[in-house]
Amino acid sequence: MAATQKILQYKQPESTYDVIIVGGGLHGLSAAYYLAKYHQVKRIAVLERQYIGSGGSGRNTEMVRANKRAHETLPFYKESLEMWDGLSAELEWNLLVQKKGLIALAHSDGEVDAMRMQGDAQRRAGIKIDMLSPQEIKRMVPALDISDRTALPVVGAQFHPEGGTVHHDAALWGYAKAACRLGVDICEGVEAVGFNVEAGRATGVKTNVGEISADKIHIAVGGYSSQIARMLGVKFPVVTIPMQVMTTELMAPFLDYYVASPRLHWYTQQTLKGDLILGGQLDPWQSWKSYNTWEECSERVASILEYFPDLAHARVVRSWSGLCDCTGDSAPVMGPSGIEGLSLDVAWGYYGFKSTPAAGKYSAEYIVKGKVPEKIKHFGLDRFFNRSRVREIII
Amino acid sequence: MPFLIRCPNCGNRNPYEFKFGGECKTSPAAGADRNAWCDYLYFNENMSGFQEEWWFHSKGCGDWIKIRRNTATHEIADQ
Amino acid sequence: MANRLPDSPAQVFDRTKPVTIQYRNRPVSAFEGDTVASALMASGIDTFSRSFKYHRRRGASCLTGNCCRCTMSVDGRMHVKTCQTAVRAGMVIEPHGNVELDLKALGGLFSRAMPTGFYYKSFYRPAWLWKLIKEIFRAMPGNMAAVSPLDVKPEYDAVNLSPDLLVVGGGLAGMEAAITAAEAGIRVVLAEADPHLGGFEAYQGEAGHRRVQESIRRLERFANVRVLTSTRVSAIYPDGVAICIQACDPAVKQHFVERSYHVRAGATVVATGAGSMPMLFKTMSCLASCCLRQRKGSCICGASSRAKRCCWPAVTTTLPRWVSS
Repeated sequence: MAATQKILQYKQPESTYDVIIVGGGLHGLSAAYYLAKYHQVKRIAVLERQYIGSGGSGRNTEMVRANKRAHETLPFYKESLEMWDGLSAELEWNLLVQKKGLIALAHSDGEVDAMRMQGDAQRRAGIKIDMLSPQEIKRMVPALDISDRTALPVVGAQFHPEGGTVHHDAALWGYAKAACRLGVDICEGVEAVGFNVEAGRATGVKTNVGEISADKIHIAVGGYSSQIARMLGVKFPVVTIPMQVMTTELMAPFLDYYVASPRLHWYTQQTLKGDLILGGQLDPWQSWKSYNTWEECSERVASILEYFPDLAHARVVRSWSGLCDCTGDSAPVMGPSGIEGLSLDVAWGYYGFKSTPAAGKYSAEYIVKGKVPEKIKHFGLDRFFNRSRVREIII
Repeated sequence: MPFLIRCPNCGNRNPYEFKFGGECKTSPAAGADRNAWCDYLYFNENMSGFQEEWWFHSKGCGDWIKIRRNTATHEIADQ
Repeated sequence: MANRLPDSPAQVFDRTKPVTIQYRNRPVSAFEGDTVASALMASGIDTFSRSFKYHRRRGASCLTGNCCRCTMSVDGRMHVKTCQTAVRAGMVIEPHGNVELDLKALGGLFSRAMPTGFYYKSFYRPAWLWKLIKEIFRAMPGNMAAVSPLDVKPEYDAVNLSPDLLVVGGGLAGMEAAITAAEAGIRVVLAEADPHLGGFEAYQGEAGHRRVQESIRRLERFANVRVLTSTRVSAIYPDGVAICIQACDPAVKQHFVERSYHVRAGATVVATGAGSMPMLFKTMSCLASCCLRQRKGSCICGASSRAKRCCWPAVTTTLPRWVSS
């Protein structure tokens, strides 16, 4: 339609740019936007081999939160969470932000203690965190079963009132549209097949449509990062693991919060449309294939059904999966790559969506200034060699 | 073809009977420095394509087996 | 009935076998072999649901389970495809939402202002506007099923509990232990194999009965004590897990005949009290047991007054004098 064409226009890449961003997902597009908007970089190309948002950007469960554990990374996640609030107005596109609140259930005293300890660190970083009793949880989520009918009864929860959801496609289109308006070339169907590196300095990208030279190259390819690593002759500290997600049929609004059980590996939210998005666990093995299995579906459904028994007759309608490049310390790799002029924004595992605004902002800052910003200094690639891995857990 | 793993002791089995043991790597030689060990432990080929990898038949015979699997298609070589 | 086609050799329903179902609390006549959809259509109902966005009337269209326009609540199950559901006497059918008079259909008057994806381009300024609008949007879709409490809930056959104290046995001693612990504020699980608390004391006449009732009253005051009756602690494993098997109450609709509680307690008090055990004799020709059954080779020595009351006549008439003393 004519109106759509005006909003977003895809281009064929030219022969040279100031910055090339490899990867047309949320992180790549947000970096392009911040480069153009806040650093006035003129010639930027985003190269995407499929269609924008074809990777994790289009497959996540829309959760945004800052209740991570490693205290050194909390300022980063907190800033990212806060940036979502003003983005709709800034990008002039409704991202359907809903800061509905996240309830993370605990099923044992140990978990309650751990959540309390984490809550202390989170509060020191300025993130609002409360603990809830089972009765309080029940008042907020009437459909949740807190009785001892369940195999592992709920004994408490951590409440993160500023956590919530953002429409993932809207976020992608918002950033793409705004980047496009600022003159960024978004090039679909362009695949990086190699890099030109001379004397330790990256000078350009080899693609399926020819070579493109650039002063700076930025890698933001999500779960596919090791394919880029291979082209550069290096390895990344990641394993690519799929995560399966499913949705249910539409139901009248009954769930106002994002509810998760970190221990039992399920989390769910009810969308504006009325369906539940249900996920929770990485696959048990490395895979680059996007697929779904009966074992995962039935196990996830059984987990949530135990705590939402009144959903027994609801049906799963659709399932999909996305690739997560996971590090051992559940933290990403951002900043220098060891090759001059080539920066990284990879290894985002299953926590990339919530980090989009801050990752884009600080990637842009690093690309332009060449100095690692304070808030992402813990995400350096060299942490695996100098005893400074992030103390994060799967949470 | 469904994704099955042929255990030499048990035959074709559902992969959910196994625990994935990671890609096969060569451990550093004796006397290797810290960097070599960090590289070995944390950095992976993470191949999209055929790779040799370990699988542990935890819900079966309990044996560790090496297979060559295409991580992008789940085709297993020589099965 | 006026909507039925004339008899045909291809028909699958039986006009000689009427079946009555309930639609919106009114009886609807159907026949055996009807689907819910055909029964409703035959009785003149043409609107089965409303469309998602503009709440337009939708009827059964494909009749093969593909269009999802005929879905209704059937016996409390949401979004059942009525075109593929056979009628059963007494079936309760409810449409999702008010399909006859749906005021939300007025939204269709503003359809030109609401092209596909219109909400992405609007409602983001001022900042408070979206917070208001999204609550309206949530309530708008048509054919939404309400999530309501189910009669029979799905459940797991095993429950994990982690109290501070497990008390095995709900007699006077066990109850006293539980009460003392509860008064100190710790969490207690008390498991009693009998359907009732009280144990030995409950059979000690009126005085015993009163003592038991008093203990139960004191126990009931504590919210931090979970009492499991009909629950036998079948094993306590060396790693400290007590497996307690509970016979489920037939009066309550449950999926299982038995359930197990896996209790990992900080401490355990075993207060199972005295019980009768059969003794073995070389030359017994007669005997008695607690259950009034005769078994060769063993007899009960009356350690239990329960045994006395139930079995004494049998014991005195059948045992040699030297055993029964």
